[in-house]
Amino acid sequence: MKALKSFIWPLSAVAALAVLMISLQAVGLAASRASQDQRVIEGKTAAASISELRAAGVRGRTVLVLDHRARIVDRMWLTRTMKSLSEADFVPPAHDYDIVSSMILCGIATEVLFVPPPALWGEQAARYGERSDSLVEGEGYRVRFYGVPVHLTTQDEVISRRDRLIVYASSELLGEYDAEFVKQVTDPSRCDYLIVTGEMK
Amino acid sequence: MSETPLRPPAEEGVRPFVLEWWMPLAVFATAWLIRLYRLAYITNFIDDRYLNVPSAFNFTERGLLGPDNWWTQPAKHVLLYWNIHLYGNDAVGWRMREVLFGSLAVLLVFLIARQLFRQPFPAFAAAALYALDPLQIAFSRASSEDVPAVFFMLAGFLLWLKAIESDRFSDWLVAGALMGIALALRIHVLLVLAVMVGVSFWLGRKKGSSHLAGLVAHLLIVPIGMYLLWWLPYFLAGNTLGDLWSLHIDTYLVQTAGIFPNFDPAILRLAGARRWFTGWVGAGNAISAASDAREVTVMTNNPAIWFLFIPSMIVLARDAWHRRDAGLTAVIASFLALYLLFAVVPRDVMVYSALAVIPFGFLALGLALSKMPQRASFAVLAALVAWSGYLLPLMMATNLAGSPYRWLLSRLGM
Repeated sequence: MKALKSFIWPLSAVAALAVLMISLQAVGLAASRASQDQRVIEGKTAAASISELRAAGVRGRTVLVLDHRARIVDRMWLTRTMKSLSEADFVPPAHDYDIVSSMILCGIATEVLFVPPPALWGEQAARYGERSDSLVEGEGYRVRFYGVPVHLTTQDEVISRRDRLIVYASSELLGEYDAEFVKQVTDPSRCDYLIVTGEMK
Repeated sequence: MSETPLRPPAEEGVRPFVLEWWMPLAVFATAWLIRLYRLAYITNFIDDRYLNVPSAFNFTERGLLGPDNWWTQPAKHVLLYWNIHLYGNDAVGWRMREVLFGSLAVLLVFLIARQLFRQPFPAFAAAALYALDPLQIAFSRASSEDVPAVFFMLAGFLLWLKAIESDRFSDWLVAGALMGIALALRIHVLLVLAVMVGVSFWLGRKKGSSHLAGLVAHLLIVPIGMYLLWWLPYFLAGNTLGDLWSLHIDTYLVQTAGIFPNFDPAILRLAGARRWFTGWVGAGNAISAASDAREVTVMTNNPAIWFLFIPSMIVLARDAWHRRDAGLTAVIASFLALYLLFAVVPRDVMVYSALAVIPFGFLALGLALSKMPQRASFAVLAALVAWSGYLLPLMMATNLAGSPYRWLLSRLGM
């Protein structure tokens, strides 16, 4: 009994840490809850689509980008351009030309999966490979923007994941992907927001 | 190493508060005034307006790690955010946190030295020279996280020194919590925590498994819990423990692979850990966009004094060996562990990383000075203070045109 008493503090500390970790995990999962229904946003500009997601309170999600590129602007340029970032009531804008950065800055995306059409894979892989901050990941690369991982990845790797996605697709390029892949990732069981726009400039 | 410290016992009797505290408080007040001088006049300092301030809002309100480097630790942003709410979103509000923590770090160096050496002179010498250190002054007037990290690291170290002596529960608990906060500001503090863990286990190796389990709770579980708490905004943004783990893995990969994008070439003038003790490493910073080209705040090491850390560490090591003193051993081990990390890591390490190393150097220097004959020690201390005083205007945002600093400014490429 005495021996047990002397271990009360260490055991309590371990229990408290476990409670803290479980609580933080619950907070994270609650903040990124996906909808059970599917909503399709079609024919709007990228900025308008992002505004709609924000209005619906969507945040903390994995976004699948199906387009010919996923441009991430240079963070220094972004900061110097948006000086108002230092203001307390600043609301990050959404840019039509920079979907990935916009979704991250708006808090919608905490992970981005970028899958270019197979024909453009080599070109995009070369672009990511040239970045000084890219880490090799499987066949593709991983970079982080504002701490959020952006994966240049393949159709197969997306299929092998289990999480619910927001799919952001360029209508003109959807035909260039494997039809089965498109069918699977846009199925309501995998995707709660399907956003189909014109080609992102 | 003996389990009971062999250092001389503390003076007996209750000394009046004023007698006990006038010296550390005088050093603290001097440090405070120096760091506060013309603070509002510096409207531009590296990383504040464009990186640190927007990152504080981005992380605290939205859980985003940018535009500052995404591998930066979270407490920096939260502390700065609340500091701005307290003091205003201006040059003073951006840096008041550093003024406070920078001055308190000086007080902590005094208290640690007094705890280690039990004499006022080495404590005063270490704290006075640390208070006048150019790098500590420059970054106590900036908005970066190094100075608060050093403050919490030193506070944790002081409480740990008390804990290994008293074995009091509260000392252990607070030491662990403070080290957790320090880790949430600068991850390299982990090395000092590792030293504390190693020495504590060595001292407690014969005290039974419950004592060792207590050490694990105080020095591992409590710091981890405190560290995780600072990440709350990240979780509120929709991230999970898995995301945080993956972020840390990427941080490790980026740091060890030497991948450092977007460093301003001007900042790279601050790189070069291997020259910290032997040559000038630094750069100037124009204090405002409209200011005179010579109106600068200089960020630099002080090799004339820092070089003395090396022989001082030898003196300290000799003392640690003779006394079999765990605290002195921990000072040496922390100094070496941090410096070796910065010297060998395969990337540019900026001179502000030295802020974590130099408090341990000044502790050794204070002791080394006290080992000299009394007259000589006073004379050397006076000379070192005079030298530091000569460098002081470089950090005070004054106009240096036609000043006696041309030789140094040209060495720093200004």
